Amino acid sequence: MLDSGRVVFAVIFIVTVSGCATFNPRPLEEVPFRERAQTKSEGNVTVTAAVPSAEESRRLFGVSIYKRGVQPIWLEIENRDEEPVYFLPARLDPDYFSPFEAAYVSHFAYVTPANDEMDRYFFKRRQGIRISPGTVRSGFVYTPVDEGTKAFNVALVGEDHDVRTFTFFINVPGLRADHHEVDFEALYSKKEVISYDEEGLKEALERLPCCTTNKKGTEEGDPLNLVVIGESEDVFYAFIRAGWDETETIYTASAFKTTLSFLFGGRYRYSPVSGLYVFGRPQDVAFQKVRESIHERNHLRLWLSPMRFEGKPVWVGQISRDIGVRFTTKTIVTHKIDPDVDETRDFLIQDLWYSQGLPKFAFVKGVGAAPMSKPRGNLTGDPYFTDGLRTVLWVCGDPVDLEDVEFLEWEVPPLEKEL
Amino acid sequence: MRRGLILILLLMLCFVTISSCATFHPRPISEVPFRERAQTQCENNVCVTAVVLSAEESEAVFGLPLYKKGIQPVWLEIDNKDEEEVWFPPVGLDPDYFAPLEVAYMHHGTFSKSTNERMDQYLHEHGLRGRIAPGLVRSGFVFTNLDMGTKAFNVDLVGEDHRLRTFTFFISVPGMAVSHQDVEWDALYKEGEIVSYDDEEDLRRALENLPCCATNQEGTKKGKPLNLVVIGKGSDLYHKLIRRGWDETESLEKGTTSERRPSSTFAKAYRYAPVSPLYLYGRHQDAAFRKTRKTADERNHLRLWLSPIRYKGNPVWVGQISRDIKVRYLPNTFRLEPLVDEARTYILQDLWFSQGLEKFGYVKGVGAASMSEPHLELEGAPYFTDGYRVVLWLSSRPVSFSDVEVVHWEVPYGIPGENETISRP
Repeated sequence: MLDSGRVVFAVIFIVTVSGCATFNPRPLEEVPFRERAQTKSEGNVTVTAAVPSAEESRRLFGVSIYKRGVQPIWLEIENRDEEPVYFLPARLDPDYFSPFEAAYVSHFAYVTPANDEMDRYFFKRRQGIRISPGTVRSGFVYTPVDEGTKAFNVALVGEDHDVRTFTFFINVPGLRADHHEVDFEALYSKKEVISYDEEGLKEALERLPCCTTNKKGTEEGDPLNLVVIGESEDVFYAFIRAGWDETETIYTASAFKTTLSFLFGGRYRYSPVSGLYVFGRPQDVAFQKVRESIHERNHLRLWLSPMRFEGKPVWVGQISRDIGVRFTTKTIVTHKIDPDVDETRDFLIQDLWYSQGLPKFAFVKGVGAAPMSKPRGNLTGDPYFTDGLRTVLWVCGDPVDLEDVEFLEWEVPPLEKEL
Repeated sequence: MRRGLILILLLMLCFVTISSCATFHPRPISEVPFRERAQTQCENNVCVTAVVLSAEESEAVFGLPLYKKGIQPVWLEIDNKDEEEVWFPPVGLDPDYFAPLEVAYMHHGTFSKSTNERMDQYLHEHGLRGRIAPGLVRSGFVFTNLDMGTKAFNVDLVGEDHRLRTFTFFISVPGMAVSHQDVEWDALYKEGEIVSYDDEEDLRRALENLPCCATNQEGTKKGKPLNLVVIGKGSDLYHKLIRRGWDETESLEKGTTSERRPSSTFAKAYRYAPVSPLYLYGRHQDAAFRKTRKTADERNHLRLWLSPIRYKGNPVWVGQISRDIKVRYLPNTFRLEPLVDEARTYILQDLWFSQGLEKFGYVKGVGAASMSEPHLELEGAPYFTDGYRVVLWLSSRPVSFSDVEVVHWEVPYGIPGENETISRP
């Protein structure tokens, strides 16, 4: 009696397990992710790229590959040239996964024919290296996961070794980014917008408030040590290209993910950022750059100001570096910021410089100096010290050579800091 | 009453013990002789001296176990004899460098408030930052992410008009016996054993006649395919690999024990573990390198042997490159990526991007194996290949991306039996 019960149980178990372990990918045509495809051409070569979301990838590959850390990018390369062109995946992502790697990390728990099938499927669906003259070749490149905006280059080398580089910024559905919920057009009426010449801009930037505030505007928080000048698209792409991640708005799922990574030290790269206030509203957009854990990351917040310079919007911002966790009486736990806020500010200059997004920069007064021995405090009671300058960064969409960056000598930070 | 007293005593004892452990005793730099290993480079009136501190030296200088947290201090001295000031951006040295006060905060823990403040002050003062005025010498530390073996980095100095001086350092970090350090390169072959070629076709034939695969120690069983040939000076090859993020691995004979590794809590320690031996010319590989992903679940392995072949005076290296993939659900189990040509394409791209590749081509010699009838390596793992080995000519000078030459020997179209998904428009 007992035995037959066991047998039944075993049968049910086997049926369940093998039921899970069927491999059932959907054909490309059934998953309409290519509606979001972008196409770019140069000479006789055309590249089309699309990035399926987590859910679309699950249907396309029959397994939740995002959960395994794999994000497929679909490419279609049309070569109307008379020579073959070669696609270099390491340029797209130096950490790309080979097709078998992508399949192996997605394997089912038991050695089944489904796993072999999966290997072959990932391999067959890959984007090949060589695109013969007069042909179109399409397939997937397997890359590490980026949510929000996927920024990548597709590099194609011809026989003459001319390198054609196609740059893509593709929005991946699924992330509720903070800036998607801001109606930038409606922030200021035409009358409120003010245009400045260079001298006027410098004065206006010096007159900005020293710091962010709390919601009521009664207490001063972290210093406004950052000004960015550029079209919103250029600003956005410059930060994405430098490896900064977008930020999710606060909703149930994002709060849950934040708590998890807070407790277990994971890397929720898009964790919501608390609101600080300027112009009577919280930041319009926040970016973050994560290091090893959620406790070590750089944060920056930007607000669109009513100022314009040479027709371009002027953004006011705040940047700080989280260096750990700290217990407080107000919020129980909070991130501790590096008190040397100028160090973080200067990091950003270097970061944009090295990612070739910075044509010009300067410093202006306006924050007010605070020496290390007499630090000021932010809203959560963290001390900070500063030379009192804010940096002004012009950003652009086209890459700027490292040696072509211009320094506008408004203010020069002191060589030695007051201790 | 008595019990209460004992409790108080115990508490006091406990407190004394904790605070006596938690002292912060950095030592003056002059007392720790790390500068004996300094390397100096000069360009246009500016000199840069660099030292990478070992685990023990870091602990002595800062009184903190920095290596355990994955932090490696690099000491720099910048001597500006120019008439303009120069600016040092640490991002050029390590984009993920640690800020001095961040390093301090990571070690605050059980210390008292005044000790923490002393620590902040000390690290802040010893951090190197900012601009160096003309005629001045400045020195200090940059806190970087830990590397063992050889640490390769750039020190970029930005001058007036943003003229950039770049100093590239390769500094060996004390504390690890690397795979190739004890090889006596000159003693590997007698003079009569060296075969020199000057003709490209002769070289091609010699490379085609190399054995298909590395073997076991006895030479009785075939292992992974010898799918790589590098022509160039050993130092060029070594520098290119290090610069592209390949790690040296520990010596098979002298590998350090786990106690001597930087730290067992340091997850990346695995990066340097010895690569298992394969045999050619009657000996195991002369050098082995590994390139590990963030998670260490996937990594590339590269084994190299110096061959007796010389081409136009340059040594010819025979190699084996493959990629290992972690098997899901099984701890510490890795499988060979069956499409071995994938790793071969990877290193071609890697050296191409390093700007150290002069030309490349493909030769026969491995023997094709299809997906349905794969070959097996020593441990029984299947692999398939188009049967070619890639031949890479290195250059000592930087070669721009579009100046790399192709030698038209063989053209790899794909593995046999594979249907290319090509449609004609």
